[in-house]
Amino acid sequence: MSAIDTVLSWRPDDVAAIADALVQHRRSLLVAEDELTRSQPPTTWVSTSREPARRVHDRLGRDLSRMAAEAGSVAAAADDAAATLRAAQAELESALEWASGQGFRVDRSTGAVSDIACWEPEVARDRDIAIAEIADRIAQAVRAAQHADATLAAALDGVAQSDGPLVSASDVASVPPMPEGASPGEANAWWRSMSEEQQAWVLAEHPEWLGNTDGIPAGIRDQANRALIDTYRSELEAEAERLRANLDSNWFGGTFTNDDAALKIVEEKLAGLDAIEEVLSRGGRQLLVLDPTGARQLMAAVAVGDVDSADHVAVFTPGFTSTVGGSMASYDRDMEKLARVARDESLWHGDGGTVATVSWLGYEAPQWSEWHRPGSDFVTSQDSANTGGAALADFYRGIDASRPVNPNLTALGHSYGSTTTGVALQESTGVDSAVIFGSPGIATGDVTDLQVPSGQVFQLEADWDGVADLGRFGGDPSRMDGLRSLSTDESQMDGATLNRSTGHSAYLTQDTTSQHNIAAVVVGAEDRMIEVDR
Amino acid sequence: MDARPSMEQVLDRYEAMQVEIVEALEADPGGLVWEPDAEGFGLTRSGCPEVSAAAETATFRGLLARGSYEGEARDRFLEVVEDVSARHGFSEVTTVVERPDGVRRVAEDEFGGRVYFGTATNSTILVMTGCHEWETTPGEDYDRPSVIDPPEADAAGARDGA
Repeated sequence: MSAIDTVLSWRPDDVAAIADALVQHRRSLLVAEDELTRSQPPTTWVSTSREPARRVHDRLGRDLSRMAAEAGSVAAAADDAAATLRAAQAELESALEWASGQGFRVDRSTGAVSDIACWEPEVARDRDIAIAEIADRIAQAVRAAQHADATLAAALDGVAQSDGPLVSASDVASVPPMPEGASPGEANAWWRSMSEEQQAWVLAEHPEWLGNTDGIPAGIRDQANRALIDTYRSELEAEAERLRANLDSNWFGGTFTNDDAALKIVEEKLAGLDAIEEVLSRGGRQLLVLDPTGARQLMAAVAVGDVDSADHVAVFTPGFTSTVGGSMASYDRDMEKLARVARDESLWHGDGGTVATVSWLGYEAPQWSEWHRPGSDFVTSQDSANTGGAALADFYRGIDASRPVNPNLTALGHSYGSTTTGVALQESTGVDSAVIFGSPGIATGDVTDLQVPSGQVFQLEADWDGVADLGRFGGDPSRMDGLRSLSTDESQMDGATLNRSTGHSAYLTQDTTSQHNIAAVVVGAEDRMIEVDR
Repeated sequence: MDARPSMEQVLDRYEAMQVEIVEALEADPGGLVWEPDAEGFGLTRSGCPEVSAAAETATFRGLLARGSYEGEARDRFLEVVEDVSARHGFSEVTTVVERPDGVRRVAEDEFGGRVYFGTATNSTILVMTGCHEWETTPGEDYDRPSVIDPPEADAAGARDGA
């Protein structure tokens, strides 16, 4: 029998019934232990047989106590196993049903998923992503069930081999481990494989497992990351204190230790936490990334709206000189305005879909202070974009993987952030459309390298934007075949008087043609876009 | 910022203006029923870092009428919104889009507040404030009931036959 069929044949209700029976036995054992305690040999009994009788009595008491503890432990383990098996079977059945309904074939002997029919390349790309996700779900459900089986077996072995009471089975041992190096699909399957109680336990005890894990639902990531702010702040403040003490006690300051540079980074991360708390205080936000472990900067992502339910989700990636502390407030403002304008646009003349927008600073963008590292961290190098692009691709995939229904997902990349976006989109991510603006290049000279549906990559270049003419990373996008150019001028529609945007940093300014165009792409309102010939 | 009204003051004023606009539209040209955009955003806020650390902008829950004003009704819709909003200081009107299948305009006041209004597949009104400081900065759960939500007490009273 295959692993899938084996898991489906298991009977969690029977396991739960055993747990219930064990609970009853434990109660009986505890009653017996109480009675034995009350019937100790009387202290007035004087005889040579008194001491042997007392030893036998004590041993009986210890045995009863141990057996009650073992029964309790096995009952808890069986109860947890039953819950995990039920969840795993439900997930497996749901995945198989969904696969069947979508026209996929699942090989029950191997768990491999394949497509029954042939599709156009663009549809096939989306279906390939769906195949990977469904295979992940099936594999994780099987793993969760097998882990529950193994955990219960270990609990029973422990009882068989140990004279002492078992460790409670309702601790971390009953939570299935997340697969190492899990993809967003695997992470989501892991999350879904757990019972509600296990999920609540992980969220409460290990928010650090969830906050930055792509594939976990946005609402959960938000709760996890918010729970960690105070911890990160304490750790960073302690580190700052240590570095200050080092500098104070060192006659040469930071000349030979770099403690001064390290202190500056820590202080900037603390400023980043202040900025995060400031934007969260305005309500309606989700904190989707909070990572203080970067060598150079705090990394974070904040959403306006609900990424778990919005019909249209846009992820904005900024570039050169962006930091959480210095830039999050203004990017958050731009994303709040964009979300509201896009929602209004979708009601007014679109599909009426809801909108969420994300300011993604989940990578360490180049800074002026890194000018002395032109071949690595500085803006002249693609290294930061390559590192950030890999993380951004997972973030995109995580949005799709974390939801039952994929949103219309738009990638927005500005300046060096468009290079990062270009790197990310060369992987299969589920992104439906992309807008790059003020771009020094998208890390390729061939738009077909971007795995985005044909005709759904847009670029904007404002007058007097020198960065957009650099073409350093794969050439100037405004001269590249296959990209559609959107206007940044006063609107060319009849009667329209939207404002022109100029320079490098005004693409998202309120009431500009560029903001309108970006909003139109976000909500998929093709006929609202103002295109220009190149 | 001293000469600018507080956020509480502009929210109260803009709220009164929206009530006035909706009442006027339901009287003339009529035909469409206005409702809050229940599935969309409530009151949203963001910072104005270029003005001051304490300043914010706020955007009300959108107002929605399912359907389009056509012909003369469209002209009246535009006139009514412009007239009422102008009385509340939104006198600088810009046409964003004007095509046979849809029109959209924005009116702005001296504080950078904006009223977006348009009619196409649906008709919408969206009001944003400029940058203002709060008298008392609210918490993140702060919201204001939509201007065209019936007050809960009245609704309960109506159910009770009051």
